[in-house]
Amino acid sequence: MSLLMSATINEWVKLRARKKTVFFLALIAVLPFLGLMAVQRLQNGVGIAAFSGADYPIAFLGGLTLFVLPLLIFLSASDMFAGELGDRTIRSVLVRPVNRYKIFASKLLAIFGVTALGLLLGWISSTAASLFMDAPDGRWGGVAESALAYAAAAVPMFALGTVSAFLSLGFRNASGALAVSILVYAAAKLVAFAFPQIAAFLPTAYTDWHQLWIGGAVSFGKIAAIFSFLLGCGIVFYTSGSYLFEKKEV
Amino acid sequence: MKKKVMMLGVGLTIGSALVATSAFAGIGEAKGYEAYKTALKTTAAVASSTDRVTLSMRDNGTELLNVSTTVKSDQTAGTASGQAEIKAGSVSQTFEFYQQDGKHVFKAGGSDTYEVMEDRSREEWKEHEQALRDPAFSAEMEKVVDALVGNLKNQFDIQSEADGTSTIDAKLTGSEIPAAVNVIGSLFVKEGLSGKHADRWDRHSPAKDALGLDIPQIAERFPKLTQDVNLDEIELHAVIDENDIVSSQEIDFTVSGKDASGKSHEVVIRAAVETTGLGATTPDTIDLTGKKIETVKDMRD
Amino acid sequence: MNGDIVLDIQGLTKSYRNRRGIENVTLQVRRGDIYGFFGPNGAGKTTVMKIASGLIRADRGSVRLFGYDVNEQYEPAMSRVGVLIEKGEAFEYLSGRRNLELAARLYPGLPKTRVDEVLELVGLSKHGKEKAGHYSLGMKMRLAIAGALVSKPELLILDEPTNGLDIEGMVEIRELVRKLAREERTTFFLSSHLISEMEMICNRIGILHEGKLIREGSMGELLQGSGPSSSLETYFIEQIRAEREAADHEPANVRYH
Repeated sequence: MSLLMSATINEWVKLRARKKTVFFLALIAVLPFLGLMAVQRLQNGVGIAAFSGADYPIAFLGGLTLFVLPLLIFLSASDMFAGELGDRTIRSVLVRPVNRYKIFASKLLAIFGVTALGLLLGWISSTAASLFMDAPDGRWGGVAESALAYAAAAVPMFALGTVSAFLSLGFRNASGALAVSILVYAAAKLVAFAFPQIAAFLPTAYTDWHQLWIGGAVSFGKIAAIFSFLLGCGIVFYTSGSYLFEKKEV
Repeated sequence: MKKKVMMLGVGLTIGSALVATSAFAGIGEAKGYEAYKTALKTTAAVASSTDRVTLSMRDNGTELLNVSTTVKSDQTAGTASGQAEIKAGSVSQTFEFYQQDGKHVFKAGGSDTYEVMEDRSREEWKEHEQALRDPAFSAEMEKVVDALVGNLKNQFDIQSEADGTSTIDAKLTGSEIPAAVNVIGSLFVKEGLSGKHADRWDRHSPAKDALGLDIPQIAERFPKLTQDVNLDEIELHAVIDENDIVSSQEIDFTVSGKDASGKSHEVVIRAAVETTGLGATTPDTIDLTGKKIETVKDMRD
Repeated sequence: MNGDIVLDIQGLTKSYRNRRGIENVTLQVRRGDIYGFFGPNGAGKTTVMKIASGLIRADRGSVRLFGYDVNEQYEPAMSRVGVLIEKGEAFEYLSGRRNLELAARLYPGLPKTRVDEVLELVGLSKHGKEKAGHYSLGMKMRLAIAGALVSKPELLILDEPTNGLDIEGMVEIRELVRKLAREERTTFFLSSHLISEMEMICNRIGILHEGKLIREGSMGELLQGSGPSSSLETYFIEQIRAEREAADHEPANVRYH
């Protein structure tokens, strides 16, 4: 266990040392305030509220889980797998007395970690920004609800992380893996327009499942079904990825 | 080595089992949404019906506008007839209209003149309509709508009754309303209430005469929301009968905002439709012989 | 199991699509050996070393490190081994010291001072804070060697450790190998295509040619019976010639399947 922990810390150190990661996390922290400026212009100029302060964090979460976080996840996974396989730095990780299942797990844990951090930052920052907006119906109920929504949003993001790791293992070039991950993601999103029945069985259909957690109109059964689906996808891609990684010749 | 393959097998089995479970638990379907959609399609396909459409707007509980219309229509014959009543405060006006023999006939309540408009754009419209009714096209559109609706599908609740009818309820409040819908909806309502667009009716005096209503005057009473306009709630309630027909439905939009004096308004716009006489409605016709007729070219001219 | 054998390679075979590869390589490295794995570029030295450190899999054969199978019991097998394969790429966006810290973290119980020690050992103390991406070729090689050394391994698998180093650097590495062998009783399995280098420090030599281990033995054994001015170089040339002649008398494609 402590080896897995150490390996995870290592992956985290590498992730944090990359400018891209820092840039994306900074972006997540800044975006809610840029959004706030846009909303205020809308409010003062056009006169529409667009958001109650209480709803703003969840509206921001929509954008976060649609674009920013998936991109950050793809970026991290591409660097960790395709990138390290490509420049062979992966060897310096593998020739240590840590088996490859643990290395694979540590990389995914680091991806989960950066995703969770992104969500936490997004929540704090958008909640802070929302304090500058009117909340006619009170804001503290919204804070609790948005906290729940941000926590729930981690589930589909984690599933996306396992898919992205799996895809990335097919490449030996970080930018290639990134480009393909983005393309696959966009394609999966667009499939919904052509074949809605298929789209329901893609994890990408549930990046906004946090919407189901708010308002309380959706049955527990529905949430359980989607959770079981996302968990199933996660396990399938995790085990397949782990197996591929174990067999990888470097 | 065998252990590794076994781990892969176990992982894949458990994962697939979970995915399969979710499929059986109906992950891909949204019963309420699908039932509502099917019923709408069935209803639209019925050849003739009598629809009672009520449109109303309330501001802080006071009714500002109420338009109630009864329309009898027969798609196969291409005919329709109806009465409408507009109430706006003390102002009230009734209308009757017919669509027959390729003409639109229109008469305002207080007048004895029948306005007749040759439906010259009819052919053009027909083509357009046919394109819209093309099954392939509508299937595509349906997919686009489905995709845009996304997970909101799950917000449609269905209650099935023992007698075969069911009710659909969907309610979106606050953050459940997609930001784009909120912004567009708020803008739409704000502009609509502003009265700016009512002026247009003045220039089209034929319409003004025909309606017998002073639209700018009516619009004058609408609250002019200038700030904090927000779409607070969208609520849909529909009843589907045992034949999969939407027998009644009602949609409410609640918009709040403040006027220039800082007074808060809560505006509720409601549209309700009740459908009866399915397949058994014959639109009324009007015999124009001996009546005072005025031929209107086209309102757009 | 003979406790003295720290690296036991048995019947290793691996073929690549380009038909190069290794065939039935068997060798043992005993505790205290400085085993020189010698052969021209492309002979398959790196392949053997990669299999020995678990980076790739053999088609057939086995590798045991300290008695543990490298495929089945990876963690105990690798716990006392330090590895440097090819250039041993570092994470260029991290400092040299950070790179070593990452490695050190994976060996529980390693003293915190160890990273400084190895930086000192390879002469990079002054450059520890610089990004590895800014290092010269020689500095990168030193950092890679430091990475292999950081765990205080009992066995060091070093693939061409003097590659990219200037003469001074080569001498330093040679000194380091001797020092570790003498003071820490570190065992070495190192490869080179430079024959003179091997002669100077190794006590045992394995000669790999076109994927096959053609001779193995102590320096003395190998040079026995050669001419008076014999060196490893002349010995090697003789061996190659002998191999070629033998091959000419055999049907052409027995060597690989």
